[in-house]
Amino acid sequence: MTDIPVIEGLFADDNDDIALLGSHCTGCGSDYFPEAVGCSDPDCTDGELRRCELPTTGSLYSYSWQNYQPPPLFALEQWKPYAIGTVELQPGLRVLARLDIPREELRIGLPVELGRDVMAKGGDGTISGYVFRQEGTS
Amino acid sequence: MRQVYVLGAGAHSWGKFPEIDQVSLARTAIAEALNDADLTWRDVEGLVAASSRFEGGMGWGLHGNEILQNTSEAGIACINVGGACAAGGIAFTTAHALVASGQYDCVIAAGAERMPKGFIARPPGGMDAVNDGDYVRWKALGATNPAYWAMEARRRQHDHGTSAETFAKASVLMHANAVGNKRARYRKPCTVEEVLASPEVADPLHLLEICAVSDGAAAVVLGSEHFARRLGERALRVAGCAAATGSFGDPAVRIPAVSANPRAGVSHTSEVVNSVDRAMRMAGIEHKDIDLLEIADNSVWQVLHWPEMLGFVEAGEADHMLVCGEFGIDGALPINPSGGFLSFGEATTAQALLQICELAWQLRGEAEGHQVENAQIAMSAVLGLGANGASVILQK
Repeated sequence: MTDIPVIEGLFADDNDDIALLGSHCTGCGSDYFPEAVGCSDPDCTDGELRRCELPTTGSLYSYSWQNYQPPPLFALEQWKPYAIGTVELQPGLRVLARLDIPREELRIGLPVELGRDVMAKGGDGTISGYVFRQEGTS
Repeated sequence: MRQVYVLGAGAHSWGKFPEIDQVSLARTAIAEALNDADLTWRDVEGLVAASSRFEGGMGWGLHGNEILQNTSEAGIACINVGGACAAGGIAFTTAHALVASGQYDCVIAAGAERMPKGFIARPPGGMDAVNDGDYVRWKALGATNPAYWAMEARRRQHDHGTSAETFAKASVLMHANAVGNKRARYRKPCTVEEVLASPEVADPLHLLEICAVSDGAAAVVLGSEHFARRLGERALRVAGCAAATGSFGDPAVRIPAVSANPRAGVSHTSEVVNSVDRAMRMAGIEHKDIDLLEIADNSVWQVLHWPEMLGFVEAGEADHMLVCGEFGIDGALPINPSGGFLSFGEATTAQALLQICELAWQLRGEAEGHQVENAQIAMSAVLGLGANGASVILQK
């Protein structure tokens, strides 16, 4: 059995450690998610982008509960209504994520940490994705 | 730069027309616009089509050349412009520039769209790579467009205390405006209770608080002084228009991105703010001069947030304005007297041109059943996926 990330290059997944992969600009210091082709700061002209691992904890900036199944490209096999949210990883960087948090626990400002989950099981392995969970629950 | 005028406006009705192809939708809208301008295809020197191309070269596709090949092969210029849901506004701005430059005297801007059913899914043709935000959001997150609006709405509740009832009232207003508008797709009034009882799509947004998708087409004929004189008072001055993109540091997680890099002092939905600022500078007018606004109300959140982000009201004040009736057709700042996207459903690339048609009908006093009294200056603002914004200001 092999474990394949839902999208190659979206996160680093070594044993139990997971980190979102992004780009760090050596010129202006901006961090991007996912990896970017170039820096978008118009005042930054000489920076280079280097692959980086992004912070794995943050706080919930906003969230929603999705009650309808997204179009079929979505890799989650056993679909049921779920939470999606924006997580502030550091000042100047917010990322979108699925949330593995009970609906009644969702609130803005909630401390969260990155984890992995199994999105689908196939004949030759599993497809893994990234989620944020309440800090200290995983 | 020469003064440019809107000479004619026309639109196909909005709805679901599985039996009508895109070119036919466009032909109907253009025929009405030309008739309205008292012109024929023989007067037209250029066509700018709002094409359904998204970033990455993806999309469905209206192609202006197909309209000409099925209507009038007279050797005129044909320019196809992208810009997702802002494409109609960008087509108008391009057509304006062609006339303002002196290159042409009569140019049509047109958009036509046939939408797939349900959530707007990922268009075909992409590379499916990790650096494509649209791929990531669909494949890994299942993040539909309403989910993005819902997260903004939830944050607004946190920042400004907007209640579920106030959000619902924005839907009630849009639907009330459409009751008298024979062009709207949904013309049934609704109550706060009905809005809140409709299915929860993406908490806190319900089905009656997000826009549907529609098929539709709209066209505007733009011309120089030469044509405007012939038309007399029915010709409307283009006071200002602009296409714009976003600013680095915009706090919005923009559809279809999966992150944001917020920086201090940068506007939310900056692509639209930038286009409105530029159009207003061109027109040389202030906020208080504008008699009505047509904005992209993809959800009830935009009805409250956009008047604030565009500088018409202070942050957090829109709730009060809405509840007091100030955004109504008879209010201090009428928002979407047409009924907006919530009452039409969105035909993406054609939508901004329908907004501009509505400005024209309002300023001429032809907005039967939903007329803003004595409107002199009217503004549209639209947002397109991929950080596209466009705004148009027409003046009587």
